[in-house]
Amino acid sequence: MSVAPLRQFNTFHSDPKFGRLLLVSLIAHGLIWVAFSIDLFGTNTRPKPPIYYVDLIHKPVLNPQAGRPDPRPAKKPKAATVKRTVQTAAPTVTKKPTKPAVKPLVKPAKVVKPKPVPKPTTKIDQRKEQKVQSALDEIRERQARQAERDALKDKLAKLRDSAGAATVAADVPVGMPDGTGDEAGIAVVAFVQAFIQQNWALSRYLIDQSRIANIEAKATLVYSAAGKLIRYRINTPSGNQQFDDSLKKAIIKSQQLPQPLPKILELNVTFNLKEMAGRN
Amino acid sequence: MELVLNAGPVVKLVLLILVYFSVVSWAIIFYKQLVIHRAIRDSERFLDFFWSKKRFDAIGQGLDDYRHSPLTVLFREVYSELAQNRRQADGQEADTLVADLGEQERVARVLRRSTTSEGHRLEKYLSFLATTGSAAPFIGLFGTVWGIMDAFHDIGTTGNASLAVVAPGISEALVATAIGLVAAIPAVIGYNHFINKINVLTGEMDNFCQEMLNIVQRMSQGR
Repeated sequence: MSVAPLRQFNTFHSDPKFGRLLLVSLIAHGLIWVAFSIDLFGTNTRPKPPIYYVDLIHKPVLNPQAGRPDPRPAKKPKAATVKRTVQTAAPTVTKKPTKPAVKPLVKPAKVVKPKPVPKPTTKIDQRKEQKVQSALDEIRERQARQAERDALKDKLAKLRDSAGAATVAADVPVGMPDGTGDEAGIAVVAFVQAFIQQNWALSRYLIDQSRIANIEAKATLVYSAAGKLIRYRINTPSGNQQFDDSLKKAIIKSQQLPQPLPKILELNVTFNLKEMAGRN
Repeated sequence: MELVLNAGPVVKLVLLILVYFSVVSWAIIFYKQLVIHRAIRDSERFLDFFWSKKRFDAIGQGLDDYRHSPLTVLFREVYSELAQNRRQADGQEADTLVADLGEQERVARVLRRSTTSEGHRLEKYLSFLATTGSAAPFIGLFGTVWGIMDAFHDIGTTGNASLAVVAPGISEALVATAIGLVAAIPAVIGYNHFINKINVLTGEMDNFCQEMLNIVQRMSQGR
């Protein structure tokens, strides 16, 4: 190989200008900033994904009370019999006070007489009297405890009522012995109302308003059997534009219920701002 | 965006530093991508060209087409050294053998120097990527810790520890860590990527040096 004079390379490596690339990077960062500022990626306006609670016990049915005997009258006699049996069971070992025949003479005397008997002339000895007395004390004590429990239950019920519609599901009696298994559950209206309220965004202004005024709107919603909103109408607007608008938005957001309904339903739902604010 | 705008002054300063790191890192990534991509492409082409020619002067004439390759720099330096040596040798015919032995050593030195300088050129700015990759998360973390301190201070002054009071401060503070990671992750990835490519190029340069030394030795012996 021979060697010849070499050409001179003044700028041999023509590397790209760093300043230019710095400018490109700066512009790219600026674009990303702008994209976030104008919410191009929809991070701020993107609706929150709905949270579905699968309540296997409180299945939404059209009329949860249907097919069930009225619980109140049914309960009272039961309670009465319980009390009676308690009273009768306490003094002696009486098991079936209604059964007649077999030992007629002994039982009536034991069951019925304790109260009237103690005073007078009958020859009940001291021990028996003490027994009866202690049994009576026990009964009184139980009654007092029962009363205390009833009072607590009432208090609890009041608290639930004040907590709003969220507790509807918890209040529904389930597991009735005479039920067929499909009637117990939360009412559809309450279910739909709760679902819409989940999707309802309350502004600070509305929360403030809830303390001042009782704002309420009534709407008719028609849902298909698949749980899709077919149409809606606000029958009685609240008069508060913001509240009505937010209600409309919430209804539109709740177009699809998390589970299907028994059939096409037209529901009249009342939305109360105070209730909403209390929940939020 | 609200999170950034509502942040405290220290967190904002931290964010500004991180944005600076990110901007410069990306500029370096673009720059190195161009430089190294061109270097690899031109090196491959230059090696084909080099082995296809049998004369140094013919190769020397075509170096312009492969100007981004570090191998062309090595060749150019060796070629210059040889040309200078020849010019000196024309006046000292009596010491040809001594001059030839010295020539090989000089070429080896030239190659070492050129390899080092080309290595430096290829690794230029990469230290910034390494710094960004290691420091940015810590800077972000500092902003977050500061923001959380502020949030706790607010809790103390308001006397309210509800989520509504605590959460905004903490989310604003966490933005700093997020931005720190956003700056650091591309920097680390870029650094590893470019170091790998530079290692490949350095290996090629070493191989080329050995080949050049062999050629120079053969030239000396064949003279």
